[in-house]
Amino acid sequence: MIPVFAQQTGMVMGGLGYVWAAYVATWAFFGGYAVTLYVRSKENR
Amino acid sequence: MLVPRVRRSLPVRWEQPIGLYGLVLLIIGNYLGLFVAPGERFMGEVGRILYVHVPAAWLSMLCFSVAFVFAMTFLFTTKRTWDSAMEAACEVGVMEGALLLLLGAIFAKPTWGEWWSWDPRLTSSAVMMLSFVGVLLLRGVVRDPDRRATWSAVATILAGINVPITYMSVKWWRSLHQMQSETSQGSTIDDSMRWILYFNTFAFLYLTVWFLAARWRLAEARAESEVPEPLPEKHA
Repeated sequence: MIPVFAQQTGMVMGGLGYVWAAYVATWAFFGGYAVTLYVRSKENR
Repeated sequence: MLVPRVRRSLPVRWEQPIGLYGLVLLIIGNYLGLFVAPGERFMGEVGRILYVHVPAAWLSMLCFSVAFVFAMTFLFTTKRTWDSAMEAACEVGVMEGALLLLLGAIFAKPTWGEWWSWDPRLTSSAVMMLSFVGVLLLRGVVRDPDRRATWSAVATILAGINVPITYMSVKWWRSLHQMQSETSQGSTIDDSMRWILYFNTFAFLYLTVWFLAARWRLAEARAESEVPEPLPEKHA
């Protein structure tokens, strides 16, 4: 039986967890920054 | 001495519909990137990260370039509003630059086998981002508004030198990172993926404009609060 790592397809297999992590990080950064802007603008008023 | 010239906040917040539009575009664009785009030829499913990684790279570099232009404009005009705009561009650029580095690390682990490599593109990107963090730190420690504006404009111009270095790093040095996909000679991205990449890029662009405008208002409000009260008139 050929071990998984030895099955050379030329393509990275799997990795959907990394994909979701990247998209969640994007939303967290944008959402977090928007919240800081909102809080700071409230403090200024 | 520089004379503070401060403009009050615009009564109509024109950036809010732009931000809302960007939010809608981001939802649709992320859906397209996650579920509609085909898997990349070599990276498979992991290739879907490029629909957020590449826009983060482009928009952070755009913010830093804009900050450079604002810094030059401030030094030529000494109008305080350009200083506020420069502060906004630096901060939004740093936020997107940090996102870029994080997404790059998430992209690198399954494709290169490591979270980080001292590769020319990665290293120059980190130096670029950190140099603009330095500009923000400088602004935080200098109390005098005139000195803060002038010194940070000079620092922004020095930090801005990193932008073309980062862009050209994959050509100038041997790099693990791929070469530019979109150049004046054409694109190496298949059309089925390219339009989704640009869709997400426009989402990032609209959101960035929103962030820049909102952050500029904050900086303007601070500049307004720093204007010294007029001295009381002397009565003989």
